[in-house]
Amino acid sequence: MKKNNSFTKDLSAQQRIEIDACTQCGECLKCCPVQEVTGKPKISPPEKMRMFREFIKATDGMKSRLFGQSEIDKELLEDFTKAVYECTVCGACGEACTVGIHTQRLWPMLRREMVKRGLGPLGVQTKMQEVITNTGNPYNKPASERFSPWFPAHVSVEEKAEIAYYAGCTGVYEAQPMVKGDVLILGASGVPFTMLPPEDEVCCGFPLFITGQHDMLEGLVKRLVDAYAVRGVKTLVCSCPCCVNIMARDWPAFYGKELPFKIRHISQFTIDALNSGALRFKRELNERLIYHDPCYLSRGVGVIEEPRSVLRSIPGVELVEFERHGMDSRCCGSGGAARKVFHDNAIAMGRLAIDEAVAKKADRLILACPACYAKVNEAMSDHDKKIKITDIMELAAEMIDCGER
Amino acid sequence: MNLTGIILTSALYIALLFFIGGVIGRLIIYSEVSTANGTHSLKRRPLFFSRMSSIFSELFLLKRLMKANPLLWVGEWLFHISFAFVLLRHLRYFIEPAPAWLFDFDVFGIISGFMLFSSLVFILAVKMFIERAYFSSYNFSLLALLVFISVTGLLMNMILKTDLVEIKFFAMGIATFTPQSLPVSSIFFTHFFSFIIFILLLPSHIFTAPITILEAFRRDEDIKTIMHDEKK
Repeated sequence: MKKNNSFTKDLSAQQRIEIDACTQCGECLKCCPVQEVTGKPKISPPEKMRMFREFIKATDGMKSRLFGQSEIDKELLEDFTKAVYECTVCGACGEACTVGIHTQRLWPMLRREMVKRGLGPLGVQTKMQEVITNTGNPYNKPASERFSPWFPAHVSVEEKAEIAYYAGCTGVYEAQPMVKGDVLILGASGVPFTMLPPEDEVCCGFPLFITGQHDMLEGLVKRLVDAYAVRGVKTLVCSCPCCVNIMARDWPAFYGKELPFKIRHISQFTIDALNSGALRFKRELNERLIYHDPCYLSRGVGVIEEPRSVLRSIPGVELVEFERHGMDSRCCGSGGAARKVFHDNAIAMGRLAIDEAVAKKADRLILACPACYAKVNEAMSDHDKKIKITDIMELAAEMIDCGER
Repeated sequence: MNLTGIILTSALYIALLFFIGGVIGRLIIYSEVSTANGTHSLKRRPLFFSRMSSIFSELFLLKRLMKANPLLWVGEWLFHISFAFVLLRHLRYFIEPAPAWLFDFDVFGIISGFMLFSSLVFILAVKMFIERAYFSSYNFSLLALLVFISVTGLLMNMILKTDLVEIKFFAMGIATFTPQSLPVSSIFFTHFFSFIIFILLLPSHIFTAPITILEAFRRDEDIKTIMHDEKK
């Protein structure tokens, strides 16, 4: 029987095996963005694994089973907590892992263990549950400001439709050109779509999930899924990679059964509309673009080709790649809800993306994530290198000439 | 039989018991499957036989390591292969009568011994002089110990010849739980004693890597179905 303070009680068998399987080879350090900007091996993935193994040994090991659990060094617990929350949970370490540990899923579960012990989350993350309960979003913004400041007046939203659009909290409050671009594209396609009213489009749960605070998730997910089901939705379209990730991967588990609709990224909707002729790029763009893969879109759910296909469809565009792209992409610094707590790390990571884009002589850096959009723009202020930053749908809407920009 | 033989044989049994106990302990932890973990909702695709060649290359060719670090991969792959062959060659001491193919294999086994030593030195050199971002003292100790065991093994085979009949008696004693006298050879003592230390240091979770590699392979396959309709 597992004791209450077991460190493995809420981990899956696979995750327990993964913690053991780390060979401490250190290959992951080469692609860890936190390592790139801090250079501190003490907060590296193999160190986190090593520390967590110590916790398991103390509470679940053979000796603890036979002779009782031993006290865990408080300092080690605090060191681990800081290390696991300083991580951007981008999953690059897992992609590089020589034994294939799925770190993008493991780190949030280990964060949850720290939450259970009152050690996590950190800083502003601690207020997240309360803020979401009160306002429906993690930014403590009123629902009345969710859509009104940016929503294009000429685009109509149906009460019921087979396609629904979920804008997402980060997009509506921190990256409005992005969500505006989404809606303009949806409108231009001529496909009827529905949206929930601002007070009903609550947080998708991702910030809570990623910070290990899972108590409210079931309620949020059921509320959203049921609301879309009532509107007869068959496909839920979203542009935020974090929202898309939790919707596709975890919503069914928290909902308790298969979702009554499919989840699709806006780039998938757009390329389908371009291919079917529902959308057509009217303008030419003679620019060299560089596209940054959001971690939760590429490594998270495998949407890699569609954004590139959209960009390549724009007449005149030359598309170049980052050294690390697709499944190997480098985090922009805003992942894992770490950007609000470890601000300097996030800015430094964002600047790495800017520097490489400038070095590749790109005219424009194309992003596809509201968190990336907000952070990389912030990273560029006071930075010596400059590049035009545009969201992929913001650009697509401009090239289609949707009537309002 | 001499006392040293009994002590060393017992020490090996104890080391093996610790290792097996550790493995069982791990299995108990893994078997206590959580029901509260609501995160793995993806439908799993079965592993088809048509994918067997890919699975084989993932496990046998250590493809993930090859992608991550080709230089280290050369050393690691040679190490794993040569280690397997060296262990296979040692079988002849524990089987009576030893099958003829084991003797046919002898020359190849000796070559593997050199390959084992070279690959270990290569891995150590890569770790010490090229890949210095992260250093695990535990891994370093295991590697150094393996180098030492392989050196003593090669020395026994090439220079400080040890009576093979005595070794066979001793090994058969271990295999049949009837401890025999330790061969009169300080190099054999060193080799055997180092091996006991190696077993004691060997992590009980050493067999988990193939499981995670296989799971990663399935994950790479499954990711194609999360946001994309399966092609009919």
